[in-house]
This record gives sequence, structure tokens and C-alpha cells, in this order.
Amino acid sequence: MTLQRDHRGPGTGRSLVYHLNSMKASRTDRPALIAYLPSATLADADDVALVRGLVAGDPRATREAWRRFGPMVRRILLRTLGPESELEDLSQEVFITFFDRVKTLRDPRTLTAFIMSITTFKIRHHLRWRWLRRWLVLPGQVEKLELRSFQPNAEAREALVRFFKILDRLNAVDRTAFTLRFVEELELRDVAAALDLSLATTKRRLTRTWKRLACLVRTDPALSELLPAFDKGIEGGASV
Amino acid sequence: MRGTRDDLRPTGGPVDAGDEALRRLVRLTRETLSEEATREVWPVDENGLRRLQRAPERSLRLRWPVVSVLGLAALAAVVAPIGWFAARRPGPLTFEVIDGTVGTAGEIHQGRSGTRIHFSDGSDIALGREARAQVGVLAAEGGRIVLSNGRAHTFFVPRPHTRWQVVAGPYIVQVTGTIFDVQWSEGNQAFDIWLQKGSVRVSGPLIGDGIVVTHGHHLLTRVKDNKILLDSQAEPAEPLVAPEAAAAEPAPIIPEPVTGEGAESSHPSVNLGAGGGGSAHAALPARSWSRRLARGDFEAVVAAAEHRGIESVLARGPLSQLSALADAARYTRRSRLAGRALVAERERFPETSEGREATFFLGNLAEDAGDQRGAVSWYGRYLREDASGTYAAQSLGRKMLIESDGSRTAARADAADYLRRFPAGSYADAARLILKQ
Repeated sequence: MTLQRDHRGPGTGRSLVYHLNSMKASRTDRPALIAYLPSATLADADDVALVRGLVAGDPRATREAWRRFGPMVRRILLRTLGPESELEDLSQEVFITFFDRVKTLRDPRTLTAFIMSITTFKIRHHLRWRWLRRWLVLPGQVEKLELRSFQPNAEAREALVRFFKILDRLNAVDRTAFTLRFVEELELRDVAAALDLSLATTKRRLTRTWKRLACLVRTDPALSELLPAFDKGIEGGASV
Repeated sequence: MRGTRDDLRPTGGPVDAGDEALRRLVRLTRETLSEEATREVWPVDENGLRRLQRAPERSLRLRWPVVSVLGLAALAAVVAPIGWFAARRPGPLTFEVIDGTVGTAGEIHQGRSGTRIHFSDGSDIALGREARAQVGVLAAEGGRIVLSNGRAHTFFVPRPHTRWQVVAGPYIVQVTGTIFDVQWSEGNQAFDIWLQKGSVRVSGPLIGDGIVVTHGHHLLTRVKDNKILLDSQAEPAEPLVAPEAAAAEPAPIIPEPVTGEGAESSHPSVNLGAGGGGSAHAALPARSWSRRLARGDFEAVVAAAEHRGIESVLARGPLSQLSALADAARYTRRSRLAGRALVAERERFPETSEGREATFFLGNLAEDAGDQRGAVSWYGRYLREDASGTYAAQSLGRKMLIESDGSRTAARADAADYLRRFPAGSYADAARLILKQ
């Protein structure tokens, strides 16, 4: 895809016209013409308008994308990797890549899937790097964030810590797929798209991962003791 | 986009404790790390965006560790095998002398009783009473023992790629793993070797590149008498007969000494050029030409070459086959075939020791055929091409003797050169004589 920029007539200020070639959405070989007419605010703009603003380099679009997708990116990072100190860096990495690659987005309507795909890519990359670092016994142990801010129940926190240790035993793809499907509750096809896998492969991986995790959880003696207690924690009955 | 709670489990099988526990852990994760909690604990503020915009080099920050790790991994992949091999590679051998001392040049001074040289790889040499020995070069694979007089009983531990050499006077015994007794009498120029186990290759005066002596055999040479014998004579028991005495009276143990060309056919146990291809060796299963040669089955090597096609072997045969054919042809007195094989060896493999040594044997062949000019030419060429080679002393000595019949100036120059380089060599007396004349 190529973007060609020209000024549409004199005195139009920031009115720009972009030719998005080979756009998936247009389903045509002819270049599509999308006009970007910035409004006063982008808070209510849909994904298509946001992409136009990002491609145009509008700083308000950048801010809006940060505000709109930041919580989702952070939540996925947090749920997949667990609380660790490198999340902030990873989050920034995701947005650097996002702002850099947004102009390659063929269908602006798939913006959410696009940023999710970047996020999962970064997660997998980070998990592999973490595994390599552990395997090579390199310095730079990942610092864990304090879970107390998220969960006041001590047993529940302990159960979460143990659960993330179990998740550490999965490979990067399986772990990401599991989180997206069962914690984020995404549709199977969205998980497959985010991980660039076929639907059948995704299903197969998820079934296998679930069985493996269920087995690991069942055989973890500490978790079986903690489970009844943290149920109370979720209901907010337990104190720190 | 979101799935329903009912399809959380991918299969509809019975719910067990693990499934239920996992389901609860998933719910705990989802509710603990909820979007609201994340917003509250980890708010998305403008500061984060400003940091993002101020730090374009951040993308490089995470790549450097990857690059360094990949670099380290590549380095480790290269260095680790080298280190592993280096660690496994044994260092040079060491030795200790039992009941004796070592001089500054490595010469062994004997003690009162039997002196032994024990090497770190387990090899062992017991010196006879009159023996004078010296430990020459020692490497990881073996070493060189110089026996300048007397007798030694040797035991070399068989190991892959070992390279031991026992230099007894002008004779060189190439050893792998074996047990043998070797004796050299400096005064009588008498050499004896008795093989108890394994095989060795002996080269030196009269036998040139020589002969492979296998277990149970005894090789005897008397340089002064131009005698050579290979038989099954058992080694004399200790105490050893004085070398001079043994050399002076070879008759009792030598039924019929071999003298000069063609004499070997008169003695069935002599393998030097024995025409008896139907000897007991021929019945042994031979896996390669070198093996057949080592067993003394020279006729079988020549027959195998003829079966394959002499021209084919000469033009395309590997060095080992070419070398075996040249040796077998020499031992069976097929001079023409030997000459062709040696020329092919020399031309096709000039960088190898065999290729260089072929020049010396071509000189031998020419000398045997009475072509003295040709012999001098080949010996001279060998000396130019491999001045420090195994047969340098012999080449120079033979060349000197041939030239002494004709060009006295050349002979004197060779004699002087010989004495300078090999003052204790087997042609040293002849060289002194030439210089006196």
C-alpha cells in the first residue's frame, strides 16, 4: 500500500487528500480517495477518522489513540504477563510500533484488531526474550509489581502469583492465546487473527493448553488450599 | 468480539477439579486485573505520551540486548566446540626414568639395575645393560626415542593417531601400538627387531622404505655384510647378549643369510620381494591393500591392482593404493611397475611425504638397475625437495658412494656435507674415507 499526499487547492489550510492504494476495504484496484477534514475534537471520531488523523500526523489523533487504546493495551499486557515492572516499557513499545505502522493499515475499521495484533506480537517477543534471559542466566531479573494495589485479599494474591508461575511454563503463543481467549474473552477468530494463526490451529492450541493448565492447577497443592479462600476475596470479604 | 462465559472451556467433556479450579483462577485474574483496576493503578496520562514522543531511540533500547545475546550465542557456538576440543586434547607426553637419570639433552644415564623409561600414556621402554638411549621429541601423539646402541624392550600403548618412532642407528621403526624388542649395535652396524605383538614399519639401509614386520617375526640387517633376513626367530631372553657379540656371530641364528638381489627367493621366510604369493599371508582376509601389504601379501596387492587396471590405479587411485602398489612392486622386484607407481605418486601427490619419498625410492630403483646417473639425479632431487626428510641421510650417503666412483669433487663435497649433517650416520666412515683420499 502506498499513500500519496497532495494539497487540495490553495488556501485550504490543513485539508489534505490521501490516495490509499490497494486498500482492503475498497476491494478495488483503483486508488481510493479519502478526505481528512479535521474537526475541533477527535474524542468522538470513529476508527476511520482516527486513522486518517494519525496518517496525517495530527497530534490530536495521536493523543486520542493513546487515550483510547492505552487502557486496553495495558490490560492485555497485565493479564498476559502478570504484574511486572517492564509493562510500562512494553506499553510504550506497542505505541511506538503502532504510530510507526499505522500508515500501513489497509482497513481503518480494523484499527482495534491492528493494535491488538501489535500488542500480542510484543508480548510474544517479550516472553521469548524473558525465556532466553532466564535460560542464559543473564542479569536483569524482572522486577514484580506490587499486586496489593489490585487485590486486597492475601490468599487471592498468592493464588494469582502461583497461577502466573504456572503460566510461565507455557510457550509464548499458547500463553497469549489462552489469555486472549479466556481472560480477555475474545472470539476465537479474533484470537486467531491477533496471533496470525488459522482458526483450526488456534482451537487445537487452546484445547491443549486448557487441558495442560487444568492438570497443572489440579496438581498444585498450594492452589487447592488457596482456592476456597480467594473466592471470599473476590467478594471482598477478606482483609489484607 | 467478546465470547460468552459458557464457551470458556474448549471441550464439552466432564468438568473435573482441575477444570473448575482453572475456571476460578481465570475469573480471579479477569476480575483482579480488570480494566477499572488497571486504569486506577496504572492510569493512562499525558506524561506517558510525552515520554513516548521524546524517546524515539527507545525502539533501539530493547533491540541491543537481542543483538548482544545473538552475538554471544554465535560466539559461544564458535568458541564452545573449540574449547571442548582444546580441553579434551591431551597435552604433550611426559616421561620418568626409573633407576636412571636424564641428561640435559634427554639422554638416559643408566642405573645399576634395569633402567626403564615410563611415559605418561602408559608406554614403557626397558633398556638393556649396554643400551644408550635418548628421548627425543615428545608430543601429545607420541615421540621419538633414539637408541644409539644396545637393546630395548618396548611396549607402546595402542591409541588412535599415535605416532611413535624408535630410531635405532640409521633405522627408523614406525610404531603404532605394539610390543617389540629392538637392538642396534653401533660397532657392527647390526640391527635386529623382534615383534611380539602388533606390527611396525622399518626403514633404513638395505631395506629403504622398508618392510612391515608383523608379530612373531624377527628382522635382521647387517649393513657391513649387506645382509638382511626376516624370519620367525624368537627374541633372546634376558640377560641380553652383548650387541657386538650377537652381530659378530649371526650364523647360529641365521640359517642362510640373504645377500644381495634375488637372494630372498632362497629363503622362504624372507618377505622382501618374495615371489611366493601363495604364502600363508595370502590366505588371510585382506580388507585393504595396505593391510595386505602389512601382512606381506605383496602378490595380492599387485594382483588387485592388475584386476582393477594398472593404468586406472596410476591415474586415479588414491594415495594409499598407489603407495601400496609401489611398495608391493618393489618387494616383488617388478621394477618397471614400481617405477611407474612411484612416478605417479610423486606427480599426483607432490605435497605429501609419500610423494616426496617416492623420489628417493626412484633413486633406489635406478641404482638397482645400474643407472648411476639416474640414481644420483633422483637422490639429488630428493635432497633438494626434502632436505630434512626421513631419507635425507641415506640419499646423501648413497649419492656420495655413487659419485665416489666418478666425480671425486662431487663425492668430497657430499662427504663433507654428510659429516656436517650426520656425523654419526651409517655412511660417516665412508665419508671420512673419501675425504682422506
